[in-house]
This record gives sequence, C-alpha cells and structure tokens, in this order.
Amino acid sequence: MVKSLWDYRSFVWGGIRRDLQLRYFGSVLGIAWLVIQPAGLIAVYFLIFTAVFPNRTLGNIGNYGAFLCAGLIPWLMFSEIIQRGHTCFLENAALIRHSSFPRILLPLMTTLSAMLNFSILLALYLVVLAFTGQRLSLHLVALVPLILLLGGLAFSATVGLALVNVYARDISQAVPFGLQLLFWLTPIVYPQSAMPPSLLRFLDWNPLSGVIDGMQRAVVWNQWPDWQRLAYPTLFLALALLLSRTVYRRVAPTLADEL
Amino acid sequence: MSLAIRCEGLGKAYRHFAHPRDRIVQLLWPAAHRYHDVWVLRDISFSVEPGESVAILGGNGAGKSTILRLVAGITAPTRGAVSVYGRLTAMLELGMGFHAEFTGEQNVQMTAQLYGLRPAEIRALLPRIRDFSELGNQFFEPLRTYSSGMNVRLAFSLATVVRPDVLIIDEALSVGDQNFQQKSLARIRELQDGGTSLLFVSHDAGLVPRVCKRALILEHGSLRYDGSAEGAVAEYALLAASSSRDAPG
Repeated sequence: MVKSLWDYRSFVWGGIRRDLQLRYFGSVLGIAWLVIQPAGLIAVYFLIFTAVFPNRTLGNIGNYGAFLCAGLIPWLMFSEIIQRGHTCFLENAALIRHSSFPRILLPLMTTLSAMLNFSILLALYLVVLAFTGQRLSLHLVALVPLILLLGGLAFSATVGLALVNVYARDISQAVPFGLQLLFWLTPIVYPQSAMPPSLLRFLDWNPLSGVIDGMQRAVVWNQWPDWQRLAYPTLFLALALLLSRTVYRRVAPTLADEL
Repeated sequence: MSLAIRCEGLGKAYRHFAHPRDRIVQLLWPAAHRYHDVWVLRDISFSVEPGESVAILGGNGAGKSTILRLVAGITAPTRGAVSVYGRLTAMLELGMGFHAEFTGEQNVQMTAQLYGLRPAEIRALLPRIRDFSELGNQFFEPLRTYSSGMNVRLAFSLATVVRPDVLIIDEALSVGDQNFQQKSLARIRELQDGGTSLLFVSHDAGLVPRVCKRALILEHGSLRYDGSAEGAVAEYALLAASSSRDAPG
C-alpha cells in the first residue's frame, strides 16, 4: 500500500485539493467554512455545558473551552472521515469503472484530507487557547501519535464500511446514528468523571475513549497520555486494519462489477 | 517473440444474487455460495503483438466490452489470466471516468495524474489536449455542460496525447462528427506506426478493415473467429444475417 501511495502521489494530492474545491464550490465564504463550522459547534457545546447546565457535570476540569477543543476537534476529524469516506466507492463509481488504479486510494484520500484539515484546525485553536491564557507545554507532541492513531482507526473503519456499503446500502442508513452513539459514548463534551460508575465500562470498550483522553491530558492538564490505556486502541487498530484488509482483498479485484 | 497482450483461457462470470442479504452473507463467509454465476466469457485465448491492432466484433451481450475491461485491469477474470506488457490507456464506455462537476481541464489533470504523469508533464500536455479536442473555451467549463460528442473528443484527445504501448477503445471511434473521426483515425495510425497495439470494439463493421488487419468475433461469450479483418467482416455479416433470420418477426 505504501508503494501504491507513492506511485500515485500526485493523484492523491490532486484529489485532496479537488475535494476542497468541490466542497466549497459555489459558497461565498468558501474555505472559511473549514473554521466556521467547528467553531460554531464548539460555541454551542460551550454555552450548553457552561450556561444551560450547571457545573454539576463538569466538576473540576478547569478550562472547559480547552477541554472541549482538545476532544471535539479530533472527534470531528474522525467523524468526517467516516461520514465522507463510507460512500467513497459509490461516489467514484465512474472512475472505478474506467480506470484500474488501486481502489484503496479513494478512502485514503478522504482520510488524509480530513487529517490535514483538522490538524491545521487544531493548531489554530491551540494558538487561540494560548492567547486566552491556557498554559501549553511540550506535552503537545503527544498529539501527533494520537492523531495518527485516531486517523488509522477512522481509516480502517471507513474501508470496511465503504466496501460493505457497495453490497448493501444499509451502511449509509446506519452510519449517522452509529456516529451519534459513538460520540456520546466518548468523553468529549463531558469529562469521564461525570459518567455514573455503572456506565463506565462502556467508555472502556470504546477504543476512542483512551485516545481522546490522551489529547485532553496533553492540552488541558499538560500531562503525558496514560500509555497503558492506549494499548487497547492500538490493538483495536491492528485488528481493524487486518479485518478491513481481508475484506478489501476479497472485494477490490471485482469491485467494478458491483458498481 | 515479444507480446503486448496475452489472454489465456479467460473466463468471466458475474455473480447473481437473489437477495441483497445474500451478498452480505457471501462477503462475510465466502464458502456460503449464495449466488449463481452468469458466464459472459468462456475460455478466451489470444495474444496481440506490439504494434498489432485487433478489432473485436460481436452482437449485443457477446462479451466484447467485458474482454476490454479484463485487459484494462478494471476487473479480475474469474478463470484464466491476462497480461499486458507496457503502458496501457483505456477508453471504455465512451469516456475516462470524468467527473461532471469538474471542468474539462480539471478532469484531464485528474486522469493524467491517475496515469502517473508528473505535474510539469501535465502542464505541458494541457494545451495540446485542448487543441486536439477542438473544445476551445469549453475546455474550462464543467463536464455536465458537454455534449456526448464533446465528451468523447476530450477523452480521445487525452487518451492519445501520450503514446501508450497498449490502447483500448470501446466504441469511441464511431462517435462524433466525420471531421473528428478522420482526425482520430489519422492519430491512431500515427500511434500504430509508433508501435502501439490497439484493441478496440466497434459496431461499425466498415471501420474495422480501415484500422486493423486482424479481428476476433465473439458469439455468446466464446471466441468464434480469429483471423483477417476482411474475413471477420464477411463472417460477421453472415452471422448477423442468420441470427436475424432465426429471430421471430
């Protein structure tokens, strides 16, 4: 796969640029939406959890704005990869029926595109946070492997979902709900301490919990991630990649027949 | 002897599922065998030498397009093997997988990237493609505003701007106006003289002897004839006459 990425690097890079062009084509604010959308979402959650609900849920997490950004921006990256990626084969049916390129490039393009956009976005928010007085430290370098881990999880899920979606469009119906469920089962807008102990094990089953927690530690509390807690998502990633590779190898050679 | 294309015992079956549910079962558990095969090609063997051009004749559903798709690597054969030696360019279903929202220029860039051309090479080729396609400023408009003739002109100009070792064309030669058809045939001859092997499908039997010396005839997914183009046209005329006599009405 690494070799095919390198051989097709100009196609992948061109695809990332075309994706941005196509998405904001015909909009007045254009690429500014890349910042406005998540900023609006952050503002909504910030208001709801600091003004509407009392501080009961928040406890002693300190800077809620920093906490929210540290979890929500990576989550938006994850969810965008799956939302946009799970239809990548269906949307590019014409291309698949006309050319023999490695099909894996399509989900890869979506993944890299979202990872690039949201990494820039995360950097921007960190600058804003620094100006609002949040103390930032060298622990931020932990964000790099965490983003890669999160992107890998999203990529492997997307490959599997997109392939099955070609055979059964049920995936397109299930994805929005599945993402909602996963969102609320991840401590992103609320701290883990707000979860009743009886429900806590759901957070432990969710491979995203540990990753998001690591990001919040790095941004909000200037700590290194709990490395032990990252073993589970890493193992999960390895298995997910293996599984999606198996399905891909089985389906990709005759994918054009199904479209 | 060097070869450009080699097909050995090629067979292709499309899987037919009675219910969408069966597809999922099959995907997760390959041994389930929840489908029945519809064979569209059986035991096809032929080779094409460098610089040789071969036409494929046959009625609707004879498997012509499927052979082209297998040779182009779009889909894998169910049986047998296909090998292509050198750079391949394919123009299938009258196009190259263009995107309706992108302009002609953007589509050319995308496809050229897919064929592994470097950005500097693509920049140099853009004006040549625009000239050959005779699209003028339409080149900078989205593909959805193109007529089918314009679409084919753009695809053909792009497919032939760099000389491929193997060129695959499905029908596109008989679409478009007389003028462009003459121009494309001239371009095809240039490529042939340069050593390109051509494999093409055309419904226009009159065109076949003008473009190549050899032709194949497919009937119901099997190879019925492999020989001279003139012989193929005569044989195909007989075949068409007998099948129309057999047909009721």
